[in-house]
This record gives sequence, structure tokens and C-alpha cells, in this order.
Amino acid sequence: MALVDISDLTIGFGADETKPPVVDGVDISIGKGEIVALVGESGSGKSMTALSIVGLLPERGRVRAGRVLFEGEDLLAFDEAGLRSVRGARIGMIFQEPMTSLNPVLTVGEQLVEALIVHEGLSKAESRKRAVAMLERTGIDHAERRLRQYPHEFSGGMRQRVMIAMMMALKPALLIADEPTTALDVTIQAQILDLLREMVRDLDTSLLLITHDMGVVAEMADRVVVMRNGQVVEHGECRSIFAAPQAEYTRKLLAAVPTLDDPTRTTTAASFGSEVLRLADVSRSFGGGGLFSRQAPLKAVDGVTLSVQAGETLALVGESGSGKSTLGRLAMRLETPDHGWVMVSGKDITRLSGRGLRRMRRAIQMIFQDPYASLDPRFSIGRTIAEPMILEGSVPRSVVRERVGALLERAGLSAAMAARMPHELSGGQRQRVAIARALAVNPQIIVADEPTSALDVSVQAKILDLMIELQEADSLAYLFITHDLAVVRRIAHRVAVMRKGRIVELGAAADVLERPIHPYTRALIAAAPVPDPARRRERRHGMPETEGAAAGHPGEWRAVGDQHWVLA
Amino acid sequence: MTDATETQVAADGDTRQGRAPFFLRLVRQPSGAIGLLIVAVLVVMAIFADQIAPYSPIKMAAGKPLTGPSADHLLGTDEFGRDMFSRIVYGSRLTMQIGLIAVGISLSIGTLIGLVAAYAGGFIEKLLMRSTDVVFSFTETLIALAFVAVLGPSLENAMIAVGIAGVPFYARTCYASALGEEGKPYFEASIAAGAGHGRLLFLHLLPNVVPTMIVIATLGLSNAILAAAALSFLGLGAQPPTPEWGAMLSAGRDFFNRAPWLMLYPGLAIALTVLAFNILGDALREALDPKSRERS
Amino acid sequence: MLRFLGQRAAMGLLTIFVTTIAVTLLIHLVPGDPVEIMYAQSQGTTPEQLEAMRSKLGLDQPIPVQYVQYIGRLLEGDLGVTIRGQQPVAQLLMQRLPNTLALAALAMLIATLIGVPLGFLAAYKRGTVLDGLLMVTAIAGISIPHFWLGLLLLFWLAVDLGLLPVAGSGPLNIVLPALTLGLSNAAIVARMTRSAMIDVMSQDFIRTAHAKGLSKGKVLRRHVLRAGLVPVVTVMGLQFTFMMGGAIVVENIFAWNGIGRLALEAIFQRDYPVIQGFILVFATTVVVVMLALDAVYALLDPRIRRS
Repeated sequence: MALVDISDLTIGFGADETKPPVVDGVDISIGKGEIVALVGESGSGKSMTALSIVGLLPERGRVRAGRVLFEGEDLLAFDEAGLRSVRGARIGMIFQEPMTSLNPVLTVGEQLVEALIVHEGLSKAESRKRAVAMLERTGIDHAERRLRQYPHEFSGGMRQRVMIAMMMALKPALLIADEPTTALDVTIQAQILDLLREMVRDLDTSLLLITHDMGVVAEMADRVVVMRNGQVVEHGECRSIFAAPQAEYTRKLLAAVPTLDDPTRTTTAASFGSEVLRLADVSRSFGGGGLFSRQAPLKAVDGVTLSVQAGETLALVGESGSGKSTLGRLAMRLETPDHGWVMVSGKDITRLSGRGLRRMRRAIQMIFQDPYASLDPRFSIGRTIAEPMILEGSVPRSVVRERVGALLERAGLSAAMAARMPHELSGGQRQRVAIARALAVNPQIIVADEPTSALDVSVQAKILDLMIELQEADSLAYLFITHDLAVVRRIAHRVAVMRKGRIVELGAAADVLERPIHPYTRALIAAAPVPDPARRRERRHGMPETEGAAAGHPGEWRAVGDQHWVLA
Repeated sequence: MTDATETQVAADGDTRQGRAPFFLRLVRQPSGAIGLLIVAVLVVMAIFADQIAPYSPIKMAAGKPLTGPSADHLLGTDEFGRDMFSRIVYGSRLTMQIGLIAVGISLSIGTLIGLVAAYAGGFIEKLLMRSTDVVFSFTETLIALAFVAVLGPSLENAMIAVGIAGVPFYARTCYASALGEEGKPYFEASIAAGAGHGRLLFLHLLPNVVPTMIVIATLGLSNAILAAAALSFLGLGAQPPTPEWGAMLSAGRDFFNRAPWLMLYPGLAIALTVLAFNILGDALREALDPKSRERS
Repeated sequence: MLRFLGQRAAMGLLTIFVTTIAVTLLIHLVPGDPVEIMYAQSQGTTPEQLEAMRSKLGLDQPIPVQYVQYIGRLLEGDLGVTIRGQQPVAQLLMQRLPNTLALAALAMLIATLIGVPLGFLAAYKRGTVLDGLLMVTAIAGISIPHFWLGLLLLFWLAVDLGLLPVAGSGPLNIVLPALTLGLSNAAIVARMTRSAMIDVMSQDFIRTAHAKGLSKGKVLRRHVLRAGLVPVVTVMGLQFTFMMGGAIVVENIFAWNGIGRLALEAIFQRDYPVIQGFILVFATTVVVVMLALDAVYALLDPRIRRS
């Protein structure tokens, strides 16, 4: 008998049963010790399904029908006290945001022992001993001392380890993990996934893993349940779903996932035009120097040199805090470098200001990550796209409207959308508008800062296709900033890997992704989840130590191949 | 072509439904509707005081002194035989003036300081916001009192004092809001498009700060009216025989035993006015930002 | 934490420094001749007397010299003497200050005891009829002018029922003004507490606590209350400044002998040395109390305590 057997689960918001449900007749079963991935894009109802199991639906959420059998008993029939005895003891839960999932004013130790004391009635000393053991088990050193620390003294990955220790301490029969690694960097994600897999196997716990990331699914799951619009569209063995998806939606979803096996875009230096952007030895520091500040300034970008040619995409890859976004802002002159030069189309814009800067800056435009904040909420779409043209002044006002329509259509929208306001558009549509705005002044290069990472994977694929199409038509250059190696493979001609403010490896996409030299690049690639369960076993064990490479001397540039350099 | 792009549009994810128009969102809330209604009554009273009030608010002996509410004098008469109803009606005009002028001062100076500080950055930002912090810690009452102490007690000075005293709060709010907008990509996209200072400040920053400032100003009206009434009550604002509610209340307390209505109605008038702006401000906030629901 | 408190203390000193400048300039901002205005009410003052007063107040000196002299005297604890009666201002203010502080403290206690539990209850019962009722009451509460509430309480409790003395400075006399000030601020405290608690309750770590299987009471006591204390202390800081401001008005209704009443008399009598001293003392008190609350805040929030 399955450990969990959910049948005909239907959940809606509010008491009004005529409103469409957010979860609609879902059936899921989870066997003992099994890892089941619940996959879907935003709004698919996957999180609501999981939260309903332990009765933690958001305030207005109501279960309208169905059963959630857990160890043979219907949890939906449990009262609050009954549910409480299950939560934490028999069913653990881990959430997406490690930064906010722990109480900032209680020590980690206090939070770890709570469940032990409540469920097993252990004494303080005993529960502390267990907590220390659990922390050590999850790979946290100096556990004894760490117990007395507060969450803000832990990094994101460490907090997620604490969460795992907390929820696994009572050896639950089921662990529900809701996007447990989405907020983490890819190298940390790999460690946390490894830890999760190890822990559930050792304790024979079942894992319900909720995720939007097909790579994570392929790495982890025994079985997969695909959800869309509140319904299960497909379920089955992990391998068979990836190998032969039955449902149309699953096929589209898998096709949209960029993989590390896609061919990289071909590149020869000769195929590109003249240099459109050059950063020469640029540096930028933040903080420090205040009256009360004793902290040393943080070097966000530290002596970076690179150039981008017409028609090419240079992907700038790195984890959070690597300085990649700052570098993009330096190229835009949204930040001014402390040292070095920024040249756009051969003209030095480093020290320009006022009118001169404004004129030059039109050759370089930007697309941002957050589609919701990218458009002025008080400007209509048409006005947003017209703004750069009007400021440039070269387009007569009478043709501006026409041009706006044409730009919208180029970006895959209809000209009629010009009259709409941003809040009426979806995330993908907004990102298209942002692209149309960037194109309005015929720039030579667009700096794209994680333009697709806030979007669902199917929308992401379309936006990437659009960007490639536009590039090929106009030999537009991109400086494409991202943390996602699979996206890099889809769009980049060349790749620069950034870490702690420096570029550690630079070269053609095929070279860097397939023959990485720098240990950090190798670690990044090894950590990236591969959306193919058949290749799970060949997963690179013993990931290269990422910390060691950073210590000591930053090193010097060394050519390791044709146009392929490494900092060593 | 259109068909093809529309399918494309639909495939990009759910298109958000437009929300109900702002005004509807406002009056659908009971607090919004009631607040708006009371404010409307006050405004009508203030504008048409000459037509509505049956007697002069100042001329004495319109009736017998200290008579209770009657058909002739809806709210009775005061110690000089003046009609209380007429005085209350004219008082609404003064109250509205006081509120608008005081808030006008706070709002205009505060918004300017906040915007400039957020936009300029660097030394100007530090200077403006640090001084605002210092002035803020004096507390509004002390600033208002100091101003009246210097300028001397009068209604005009009370308005100015209350207006100036409110500046730091408006400046801080505007600053925080502007700083938030400035960090958003649309603002940087506009810089990238080549927008100059004027455009950035007045077409992008200001319109996006306005909703917050409208809420603050509405709530601020109640604050300003209360503060000015308090000054008048203490004798530092409107002087007799001006029909100002705070001053009337102060005068009325001497006759509490014989004529309790002298103290009751002006107090009630202040409370109702302040309440109206308070609930209207809350409703405005909710209508402008549905996320704030259930918060305050 | 020391750095945090150091910054706050520096800010406080800056505030006091600015106050001393403002207080020196104050008398020069008076439209017309301050000395003539001071004596406008008393007849038969000779020009020589005015001149003597001018030099006594140092007004015949250049402003920077006046400021230096003022600071010099200030450091010796000398705030000058009153125009009428020639009493030392410092002594006068120090006599009255404890009364105002007692009033503000008691009022704050009342406001906290009423406002915090009710705000907490409303947050806990968010969306229910009880929450609605509490919040309607609160918004009505903040709309009632405290001077009106004071008068109503005065006539009801003291005059009609005779439960409490009407005015004066006996120990029972503090009850009415403190009640007035406390009640009218309890509504604000309740509203602020409610929104702070709702903020905390919607945090992810509360969901974590529930997921551990803690009882509702335990989640409230251990997690919501502990985390909610931090914003509530911030509320209290703001509250104290309201209290000090409100005390000025309320003291005058109940003839409570605090510095607010003294200040009002001084304003009417144009007794500038008293007004100057009052402003300085008031600002200093607020700075000191805020600093103390910052210290509490720093102790409650480990993110500050352990930095």
C-alpha cells in the first residue's frame, strides 16, 4: 500500500464554490521510500496540492473535495490537534526561501529542538544532543557552537541544511520539499540535492519534491507527476516520461527545456563585425569609507577586460555576488567605474556625462530580469516604447506611432497593444515590450541581465528564440548575463565565467562548456542538473573543490586554446 | 498576421485581467464610501456656509445666550447668544482651510525634499535626509509650539506652524517611496533611453510617488486639523470670536454645567472630520494598493 | 551593536547641537524687537530698562558671540532667568520635568497595556468580526481629539461622579491626564501593533513553525511574540514622542504642573528664556528616551546585537 494516496483532491479559494478551483481532481500516490517529483509552471497548483497534505493552505484556501490518505488515514478528516501530531513528526516540510524560513530572533538551536521536545518529549539536554547529531549529519561543522548562533549568521545553503536537519530529526515517513533549491546558486543546489537524496534514502523517508526545474526532476525523481492548471496531465516513471512523454503539454515542456547537450551556436571570430563594446580593466567597489564604517570596500568588479563584436552573444556567467550584474551596469554606464575604460563603438564613454553620455548611450540598451518592474506602471505600452525615439529626436513625431506598432510586431506582439497598460500584460509579454523598447533606437548592443530567469520555461524558450531571431536579422550584439548554463548554451557564441569580480575563464561557448579548464567552471558545469534521468548515474562524483581555487593569488591569464583563456 | 500574434500573446501566459476602476475600488469599501460622504458634506458646508448658516457666526445676540437646541437654534446658542449651528458651519470652512493650507505646506516642501534627496544622491541626499531626521526627532508638537512662540498666537501662524512641523514626515515618506521607484528597472531603462533630469524627475519619479503621497496627505489632513485645533484650544491659534472649533471648545468648557452642548458639538465636529479623513485615507491606500489589505 | 548605538548617540548629540543653535536664533526670528514685545504687556517701562534687558540677554552682541556665551552658560547648567520674577529657568524646568515624565510614563503604560494586547488580538483574529470591531473602535479612537476626550473625562469622572480631583498636583491628580493621554494613544498603539503582528504572522518562518507541529499557542508565544517585539519597541519609541507632545496640551486642561504648562504660560507672557529652556529640555528628553529604546531594540534583535 502506498504511503500517501491522494485522490480527487480539489482546492479553491474562498467559500464561493462556483469559482474555478486551483487544484482540480488531483490523484497522486507516493510509495514508501519513493521520491516523487511534482512538476509544473507557475499557477499549476503544485504548491497548493502539497500544502493541503499537512493542512497548511493559505488563509483563503479551501479543500472542496477529495481524500489524502497517509498511512491509511485521511488527513483531511483530522482536526488541528491531529494534524499537529503528524506535522514535524511523520511529515516534514522544507520551503523555498531559506533566508526567511527561520525565525531571525531565535537561535538555530532553539528552533532545532522545538519539534523534538514537542513530539518526543525529550529533555533539553537530550534534544540538544540529537540536534547536534543532526546538524553534523547535514554537513555543518562545529555544530555545538553553531547551535548558539542566529539564522543571519548562516549562508543560504547552510540555512537550508538547518531546515533539513530540523525536518529530518524525527525521521518522518514523508518529507515535502517545495522548491527547496530554487533560491540557491547552482553549486549549492547540487550539494543540497545530494544531501536530500542521501538523507531520505538512509532514513527510508518518502520525498515529495515540488519543482519547476526539469533538471532537478531528472536528477532526483523516481516518479514524476506533471501538473497544469490544477490538473495532473501526466504521471509515470521518471525515465519513461523523459524518454517518451505522452501528454502534449509534457512534450512541449520538455522541448522548451534548454539542455547542456544542445549544440552550441557556431562561432568564428571572422563571422562577426566590428567591436561594439569594450571594457578595459574596469573595476568598481562598493561600501567602505564611511565615518563609522570599518569594513573594507567590497570589490564587485575587479579589473575586467572583455569585448563584444557586432552580431555575437557574449554570455556572462556567474553565481550571486560574482559581480556579473555590476559589470552589465558598468557597460551601460549606469555605474561609473573606479578604474578602467568603457568604450561603445570605439568611443570612450567612461567619463562622458550629461548630453554626451545620453547620446552615446543609445547605442547600448538594456533588458532587465524583473518583467513586472521593467515598465513604468503609469506609462502605456506605446508611450514606453516611444520614449527612446522621442528622446533621440530623429524620428518625426508623426511616424512614432507607426514605428511603435512595427516594433511591437517585431517583438511578437500586436500593434494594438500599444494602448494597453503594463498591469494588463503577462510576464512574457512585458519582457517582449522591454525588448521592443530596447530596439526602438536601433542599438548595436543590448545588455540583457537575466532576462528570462523570472519566466516559466516555455515562455523562456520563446523569448530566447525571439532574441536570436532579432540578432540574426540585424547583427545585434548581446551581453547576456545569466546564472543558467543551459540558457548559455542556447544563446551564447562566447562565454565569460565570472567569480568574485573577476573573469576566470573566457572562450567560445563550445570550448568553455565542453572543455572547461578552470576548476570553478568545471564545478559550475558539474553542478548544473542535466534534464535526462538516463545520465543520472554518470553524475560527476567528487565535485571539484570550489573554495580552494579562490584562495591566494588571483593568477594570470593563460591561453589554453584558440581564443580560450583561463585565469590560473 | 494579427491572428498569429494574438495566439502568440495568449501563449505567453495568462494575461492579467484589468482591475475595477480606481473610484469603484474606493467606494466599494464601506470606509471609502462613508469617508467620502462626510468629506463631501464638509466641503459643501464650507463652500456654501453663507447660504447654509441661518445667522452670523460672529454677531452677538442672535438669540438668547446659552439656550439649548431648539427649532430656531438647532444646536443652541453660546454665552453671547450666537447661533452654534452657524458657528459650526463656518467653522468647517476654517477647518478645511487650515487643513488644506497646512497639508499644502507639508506636502509641497516635503515632496520636494524627498524627491531631490532620492534623485540627487551623494552629499545632497545625506545633507537633506540627515537634517530631516534631526528635525523629525524634535516631534511635530514641539516644532509647532516653537513657531507659534516666535510668530505669536494667531490662526495663520498656527497653520504655518502645523504645516512646517509636518514637513519631515512627508519628506521621509516621499524619499522612501522615490528611492524604491528609482531602483526599479523601468527607471534605469529610461536613463538608458537618454532621458534627462527633468523627464526622470517629473515624468517617471513624481507620478509614481503621487499615489503614496495622496494617501499620506489624506491621513495628514486629519493630523493637521487635530494639531491646529489643539493649538487653538490652547489659545495659540484662532482667537475669539473666530468660529474655530478648537477655540469654541475651549471657550465652551467654562459653561459645561449650564450648556454642555457648547463643548459637545465642536468636539464632535472635529472628531467626525478627523474620522472622515482617516477612514478615507485608509480606503485610498487599499484602493491604490490591494496588497496592503488586512495590514492596517 | 556598539557601533549601532554609537551611531544613534552621535545622531542624538547632533540633534541637541542643532537645538542649541535653533534656540539661540529663535529670539532673532521674532518679528520686531523681542525685548519690546516682552514688555509690551507691562506699562511704564523706560527705554533704559529695555536697553538693560537687551544687554542682559546678550542681544546687543553679534549672534556667534551670543551662541558661544549661551553654550558657555549651558555647560554650567545656567539657562538664564525668567523675565518676570527673575527665577533661574533651569531650576524651574527641573522642578516641573519629573511631573511631565511621570505623566508621559504612566500614559505610555496605559496605552501599552491596552493597545498591545488588543492589537495582538485583532491580528490573531484577523478578518473576523472581532477584528473589525476592534479596528473600527481604534480608528474612532484616534479621531477623537485628546483635548476633547480630556474634557469629557474631566466632567464625567471628576465633576459628575466626583471620583477624581478636578485639578491640582496631588498624587490622584495624575490619573485623569494620564488616562486621557493613554486612552487616546492606545488606539494608535493597537493599530500599529496589529499591523506589525500581521507582518510577522505572514512570514515564512511562522509557516515553518506550524510545519514542525507546534501548537497555535506555542507558535504565537515563541515565534510571533518574540519576533513581533522588535517592531513593537519601534512603535513605543514613536509613541513616547507623541506622549511628550500630547502632555503639553493635557497638562493645561488638568492644570498638571509639568513643563508643558510652564511653556504655555511662557509663550503667553513672551518669556523667551523659559521658552528656550523648555525647547532644549524637551528635545534632550526625547533624545535620551529614544536612545534608551534603541538600546532595547538592539538587545532584542540579534541581527544588531551580534554585529
